[in-house]
Amino acid sequence: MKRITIDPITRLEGHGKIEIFVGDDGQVVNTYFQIPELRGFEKFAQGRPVEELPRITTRICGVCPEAHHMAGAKACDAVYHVEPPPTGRKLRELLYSTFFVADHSVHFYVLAGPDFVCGPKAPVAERNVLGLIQKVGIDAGKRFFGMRRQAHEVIKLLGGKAIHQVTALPGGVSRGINEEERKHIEAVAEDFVDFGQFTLDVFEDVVLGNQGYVDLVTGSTFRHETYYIGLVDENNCPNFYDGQIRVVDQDGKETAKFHPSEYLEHIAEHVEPWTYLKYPYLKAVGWKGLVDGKDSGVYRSAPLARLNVADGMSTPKAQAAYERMYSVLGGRPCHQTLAYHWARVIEIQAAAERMLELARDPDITSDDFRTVPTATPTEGVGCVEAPRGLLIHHYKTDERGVVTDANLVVGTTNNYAPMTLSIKKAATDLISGLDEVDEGSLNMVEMAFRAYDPCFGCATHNLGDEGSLEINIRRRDGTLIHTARR
Amino acid sequence: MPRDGACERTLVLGLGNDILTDDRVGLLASRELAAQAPLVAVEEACLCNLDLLPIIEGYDRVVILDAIWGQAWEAGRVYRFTPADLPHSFGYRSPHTMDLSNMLAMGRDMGLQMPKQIIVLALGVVDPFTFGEELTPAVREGLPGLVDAARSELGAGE
Repeated sequence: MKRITIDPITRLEGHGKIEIFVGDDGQVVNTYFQIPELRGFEKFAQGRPVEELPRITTRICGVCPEAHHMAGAKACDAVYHVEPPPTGRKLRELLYSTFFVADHSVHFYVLAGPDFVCGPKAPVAERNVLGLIQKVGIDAGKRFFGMRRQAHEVIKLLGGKAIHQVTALPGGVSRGINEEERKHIEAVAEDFVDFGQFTLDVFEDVVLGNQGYVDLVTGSTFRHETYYIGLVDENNCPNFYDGQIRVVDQDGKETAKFHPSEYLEHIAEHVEPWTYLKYPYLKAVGWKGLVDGKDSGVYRSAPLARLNVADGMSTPKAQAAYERMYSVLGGRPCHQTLAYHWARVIEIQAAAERMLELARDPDITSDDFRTVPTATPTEGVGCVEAPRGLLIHHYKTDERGVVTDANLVVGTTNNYAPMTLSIKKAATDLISGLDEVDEGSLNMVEMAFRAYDPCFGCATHNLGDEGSLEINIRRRDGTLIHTARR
Repeated sequence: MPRDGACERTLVLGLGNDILTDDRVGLLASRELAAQAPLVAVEEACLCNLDLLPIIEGYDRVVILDAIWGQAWEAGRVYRFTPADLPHSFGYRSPHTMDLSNMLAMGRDMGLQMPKQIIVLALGVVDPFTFGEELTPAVREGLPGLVDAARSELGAGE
């Protein structure tokens, strides 16, 4: 048996390792996708005043603090049985839409885009954001960094800090915006809508304009037939900030729709001893192992899933892009994993349009942005769509509002089983039978998880009482110096 | 970026995480300097690499204040580096692993106006890993030295 290790895996947020076991006949026998990160936020949240959690949980990782800030604030609303006034809710959503544009763009331009723009088997030294900018043009790079700077400025204005925001409170937010600030945000949102179209055009030219990539996207190697989950509004359109949770099956038929507070009735988690990350699955279908299909409770979350569960988009340019994608890919739901990249670029446009709608909303400059809670705190669930999947914060407190228990189901966690399936299939199709495994082929195996835009900094919290542990100490160039095991 | 029409072409940038015990020295030093030298452009950031580009763009000189930890670095002592002195990472593996030199090269390749000079002043620390909001004693004693070093650096550039 031969063992091929991809360590560290690259162009993602967080850390992980892929082990591929190849039999003597050259066929891939199994793969393991291990996540060694551990955070422990659910533990040290206990004993804290619950209103601190929207600020503490932003520290889970520095990539998506906005998502934890909002999910935490919504959980606090529920704990205190209070609803933010419309302006408070809209200000939260305005910040959140801005964040979605910036966050999704980093994935396309810095993490995943190089695979398509430079080529999946291009030399490693070229297959990165600089290589992408050199191929697409320096202006694209300047637009990307300009967008990022503008996004940080707006987020700092609305959230108090560019990273690790502080303004969302139980019942609303701590500050409103005046007309001058509103006009500035509106101008930025108009730029973002242009940027969203620019990014869609880049995807069209670079990916869809290349038959090899189209074959990769539509082929069988990167395909799984799973259930899909996502947050939808009253029209069954995706809403990143709020809504009901909708589940559809492999044929696109709705199998569940529920309020986020009922998540424990629908979602359970399976544990394996060799990884710190858990596997969520649909309780109604059950855990049948790491397999897809109608009889398996494995489901997918995040961009492609959100579009698969939706009957359409709530904004016009995103709707046009949504229709284009499904007309090319043969209808909804789409089971092609690499279509996650297309769905993500559509969501950049959707978030930009929503940001512009909110910046133009007549309520947005109102002074009525918070309802101060008066009820005794108890328990509450807050749910948003993080860029990487459904994010749930569930808090329980005593009568003083001090946290007694916390449970976080993080975006990337939802996709851990699908990522594991995708890696195994890609390895089986691309590595089996090869006399020599080249770096380009291993990168194509990595593309199987990269499509999901995972963030393992957030998505981990299982630590068994015992278990084996291996620590590898490496030089800067990756050479192994020492291995310690227990 | 420098404000339009302003004279500041030097930036003091404090880096760190304010809830990881000694990792906050860069932030504290920059705040102390801002109080002592109000005419100097001072920023603080809990960001890394890619996201620092818009902050340093447009300045001629940037003095970064940070923490340094390891067996070779004595707690409470100030060390001075240029980007060339600092170790290089695995490259553009992810936004988190991009090092200072790579970041500067990227900025220049994109036609952004990158500083001509970057100095990193780092204070040796005891514990930049544990959650906490207080400095360890050796680092608390060394903090004024970091502020003094930054002030000397600013004076040397005039």
